[in-house]
Amino acid sequence: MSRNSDVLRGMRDAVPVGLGYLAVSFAFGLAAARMGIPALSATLMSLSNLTSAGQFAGVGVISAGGGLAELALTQLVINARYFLMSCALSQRIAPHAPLWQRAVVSFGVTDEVFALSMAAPKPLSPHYSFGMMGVCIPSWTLGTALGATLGGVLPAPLMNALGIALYAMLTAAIVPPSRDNRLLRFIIVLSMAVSGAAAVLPVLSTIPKGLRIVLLTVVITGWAALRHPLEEAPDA
Amino acid sequence: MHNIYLMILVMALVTYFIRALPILLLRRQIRNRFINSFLYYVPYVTLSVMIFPDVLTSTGMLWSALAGFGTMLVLSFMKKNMFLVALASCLVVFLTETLVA
Repeated sequence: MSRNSDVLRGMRDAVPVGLGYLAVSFAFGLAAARMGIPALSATLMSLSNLTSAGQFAGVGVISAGGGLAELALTQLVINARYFLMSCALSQRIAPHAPLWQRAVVSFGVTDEVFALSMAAPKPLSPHYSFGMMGVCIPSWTLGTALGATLGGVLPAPLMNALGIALYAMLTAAIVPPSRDNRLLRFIIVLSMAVSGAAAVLPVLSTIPKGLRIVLLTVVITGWAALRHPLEEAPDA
Repeated sequence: MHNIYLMILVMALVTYFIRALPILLLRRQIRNRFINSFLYYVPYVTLSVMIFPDVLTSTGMLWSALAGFGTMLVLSFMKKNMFLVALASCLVVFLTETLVA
């Protein structure tokens, strides 16, 4: 079995993501502290939630004195995209992987881990995911603790520079396969254009962002799947 | 404010179930051509939608974000690895912000 090498490969591939998470979770810890969330709570939230947008929104609801139902609904809307990602991942994971391994892999589904998982060879080894989680969870948690306790020690240009890191990683995950595939290139450009338009158009821009992401994904992906169905079983 | 630990638990549970339900329930290979095509396109569409336009407000100013965005697009298209793309984009943002400011 190559379980150990899968774990190591996952850890190695996740190092850039882990560094990005340190920076972003540092910003989250800082923001949570400013909203009056104790450092321990912010750190526990990162350890148990492992999601950036959901946590930023969550501390917003908590500090505004929102109720449990409002909090749950916010998470449902903002994190609904994970549902689509998990649907795609469900078909990637080795079919004979035991249920407990699938349950553990589920916890680690973030935007960046998803991007790495889709770029990894098929079928996706759960141990590869464990390796990624072994890097991502500690760095996300540690960054939050540091941000919540140390606060604004980093100079603004440095924090701003780190703020773009996660977007760079997501871009590096989807753009390379599009170089040799005109259709993918078109779909990426189309998605960004529609998303940019939706962010400024009158009605669409009022839809909460998490919901908007899901709506746009379903519509654009549905169009692509109808118009350009795959010839054979997908393997890219 | 409610008990904050209860609130954190609720957040964690909701988020976990969103992630886990498809992975735990969809264990067989789907044969439907439309669904397979749909799932194949999901990452490209959803990540594109998340990147743009949010990337433009991810730094301190629009110009540095545009410079960083351009950097990541060009380097990704050249199939450079993720680490290099992230590092170069951060560096370009940092330089732009220190030069412009």
